[in-house]
Amino acid sequence: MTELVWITLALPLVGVALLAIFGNKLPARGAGLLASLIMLAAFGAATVALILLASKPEDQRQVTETAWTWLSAGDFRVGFDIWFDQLTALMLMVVTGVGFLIHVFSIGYMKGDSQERRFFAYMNMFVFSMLVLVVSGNLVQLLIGWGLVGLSSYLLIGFWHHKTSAVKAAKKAFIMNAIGDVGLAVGIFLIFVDLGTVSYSGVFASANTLSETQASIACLLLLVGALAKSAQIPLHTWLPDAMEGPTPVSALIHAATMVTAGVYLIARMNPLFFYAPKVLDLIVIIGVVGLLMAGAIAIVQTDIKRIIAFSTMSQIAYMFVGVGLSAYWAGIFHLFTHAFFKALLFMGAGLVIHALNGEQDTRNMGGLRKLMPKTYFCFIIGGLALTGIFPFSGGFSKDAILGAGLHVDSTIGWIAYVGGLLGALMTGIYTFRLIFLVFHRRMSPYAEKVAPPLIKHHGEGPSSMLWPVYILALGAAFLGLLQIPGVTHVMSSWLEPISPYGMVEATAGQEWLTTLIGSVVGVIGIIIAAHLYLRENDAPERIRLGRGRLIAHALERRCYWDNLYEWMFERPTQWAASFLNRDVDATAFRWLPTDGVGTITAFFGRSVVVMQNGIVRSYALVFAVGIAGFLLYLLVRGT
Amino acid sequence: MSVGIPMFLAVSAILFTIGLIGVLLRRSPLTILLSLEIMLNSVNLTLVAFSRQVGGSDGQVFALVVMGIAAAEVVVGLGLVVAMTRRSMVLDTDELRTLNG
Amino acid sequence: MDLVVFFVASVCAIASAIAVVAQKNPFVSALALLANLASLAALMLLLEAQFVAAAQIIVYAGAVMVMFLFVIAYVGPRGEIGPGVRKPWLVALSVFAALLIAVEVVVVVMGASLGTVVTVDASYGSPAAIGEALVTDYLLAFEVVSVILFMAAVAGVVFGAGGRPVRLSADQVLAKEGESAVERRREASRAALEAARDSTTGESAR
Repeated sequence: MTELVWITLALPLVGVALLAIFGNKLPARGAGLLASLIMLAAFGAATVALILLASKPEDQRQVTETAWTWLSAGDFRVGFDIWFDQLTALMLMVVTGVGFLIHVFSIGYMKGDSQERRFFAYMNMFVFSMLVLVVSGNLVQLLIGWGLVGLSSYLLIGFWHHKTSAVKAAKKAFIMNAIGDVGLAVGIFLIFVDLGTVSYSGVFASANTLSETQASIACLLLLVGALAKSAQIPLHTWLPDAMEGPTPVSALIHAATMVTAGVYLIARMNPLFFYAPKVLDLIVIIGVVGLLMAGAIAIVQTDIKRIIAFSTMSQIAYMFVGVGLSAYWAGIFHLFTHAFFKALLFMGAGLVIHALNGEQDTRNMGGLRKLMPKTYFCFIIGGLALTGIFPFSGGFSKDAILGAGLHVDSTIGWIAYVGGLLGALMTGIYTFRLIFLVFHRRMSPYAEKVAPPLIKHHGEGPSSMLWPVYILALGAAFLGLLQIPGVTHVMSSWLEPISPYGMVEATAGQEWLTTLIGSVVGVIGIIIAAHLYLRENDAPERIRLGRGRLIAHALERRCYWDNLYEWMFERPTQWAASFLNRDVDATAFRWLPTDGVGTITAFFGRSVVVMQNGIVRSYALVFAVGIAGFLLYLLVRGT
Repeated sequence: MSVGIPMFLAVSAILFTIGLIGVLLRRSPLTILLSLEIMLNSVNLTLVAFSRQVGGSDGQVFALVVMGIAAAEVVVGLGLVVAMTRRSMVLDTDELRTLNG
Repeated sequence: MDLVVFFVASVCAIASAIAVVAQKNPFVSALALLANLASLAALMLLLEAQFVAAAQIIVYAGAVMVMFLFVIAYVGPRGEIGPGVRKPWLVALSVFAALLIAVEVVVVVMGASLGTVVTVDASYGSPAAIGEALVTDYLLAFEVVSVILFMAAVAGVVFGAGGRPVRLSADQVLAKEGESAVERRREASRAALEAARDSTTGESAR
């Protein structure tokens, strides 16, 4: 079984190597095919591993294996480990399965791009990084995967490196993630200092020796890493900009890899977080604020991918709420369903963008329902799943999280519950606003000009783009049935053992109640969206310019986070630089002769340049004189 | 044994010096390579002498390794000489002074 | 007896080494180096290192020196360059430094008390003993040497075979090889021209 995990891990790396070395020999199309086949093989291996794991008795479903120890200093040992348990198995399924579909989709989407091979090499590398992260059996290896994910995302977001905005977005993502990496790294150092080990088993076994303060600080630092990687407040600003990458990249970042890493980290380290209840509360608060803010911002965005990006942020915030409430399985369940419907929405958006020849602004869309019925249908399924309408998958998972809030029945629980339901309302509004803007209403002049000929020529897209969407639509529609409150409990019983201290789990009654309220709230959101956006009317514009103008302004500027960072970091740095340049340099060094530093350096340079006359013999002579002098010194010293 | 080890070492030192002078003074790359061989061989003699002194085979193994390395060095050096000849360059190290500052 | 052999061998070695360095003609230098190697092998035999002495003769005299002679023959008279006397300070300093090193080493060696020499049995320096040390304790060094030799072989091929011989203009040849070379080439081209003319007249006559 562990061999299969190793194979799963190794395959994408093999793909990277093959594409990097033989990429030029492959036809452009072959690169995508190769990468996709490798992902399929990885998915197959992961599936078999999952089945083998499931066929074991429940108390043996946690396997660790060390390939080799690559760092050992005193008691400190870091091996290249795998830790294969229920959570890892599930993450492997998501990463390789959804990753595979995204790869297939990319074959069609990237067709004709001159850099296809580079693209697929990066994609495989991204998946490999994420796999390193999830199969790791110790924190250091996790950090390696963490860093590799950041690197791969940098490469992919900046994939179109001739676009300045893409390069900037890539740098932004990288820097934000670097902040998180530092937090995570310091957290790991701290854990090592406190506990003397970095392996999961060691940390979990000795976590109870920590005082609450120690545990809280360590968890806070881990949380910094999680916040950056998962794009949560206050390290979230990179996510919307990351839309500069090709659409499949967005799907991969948002659905299968990267942003889920933070949730995974918290769920994985839950025995440690158990001893830091205040940090868990903080996670819930951050989650609630994040989901409300991101949901609200999504309502006013006009870029199709940005809307989905903010919705990702909002949904990840739900997952944070879930893990923060110690309802780990609910958080991971939402991660699982979210992977499907979010990948579905991104690929749907990809189809739309593809059909409109690269256009991403929703104001240039509209009325595509008739032209793209299949995409429309899949988009509706994704939208319903995202909004959490019964019986689509998102509903069950989101309600499991909110039900946990109800079950906890404390201030934090109620905050989570009410905030989450409010978020569901917003989800309904922005999701269906997006659908109405893109698929309903009158066709915009641009779409009228571009879309019909393209679609007549190509259909809605090549089959390599459509089939992944269908499969994801199936998943988005039905995967919730794995966990019908009171009826099926595949997820909760599967993930139960990952937390030694038990998980918060709502009763069936609480969940059904939440499902009822959540669906009603979602439908209300849809109705509001329909009222405002289904037909052309000036109501949204009126609100925007009228009573709601302050809020609208704030939301359009994304709640001023970017401006805040500009004022906090960019301006002071620039000011300091110009101060040093203009005042310090010009005044403090005025007493030196012009180019004083340069003159002195040049003087010394000229005085030794005679030694470098180009005659090799004289260099050898210097060598010989040196040896003679050294020997003389030893002799004179006389030891 | 009638000849002391220090005698061998002294001979080795003298040979080393002669080789060094050759490397430092001669301008022909061929002669420089030959002089280098003298230096390497004098060191080999030292290694063998010390090996005899302590009675182990380590020094002799070192001497063999030195021979191998010397052969490699000669190959590269002579390769350079041949390349210079084929490019009709003058075989004078003093003329090769693109390294000057 | 040992003493006699030692003195003869070391005098030979030193004299031939001086010849190597002082000779203008690299061919003679190479032959002097052969003599030097042979005397060194004799010295090594005195030290009871039979295998190394044999390897010295076989590897150096058999392989390396043959390569040297080939290249010297290939390069021809252009390899002949006398001692560099163009920079007196360089010469003076070089000789000084080299002699300083020699004096220092000799002082150290003569002054050192090395203690008594170990008595060794017949197996000392035998191929068996060396071979065993080479493939047990020094296996890594052994392998590394093989890799280095391989790389050197590749490098030799690349250096030697790469690049086309450059055809020089008369002025460049003049500058590099002196008056006589230009004359020689001119002579050769004139002869070739004559030959060509002869053949064409012959054809037209027929």
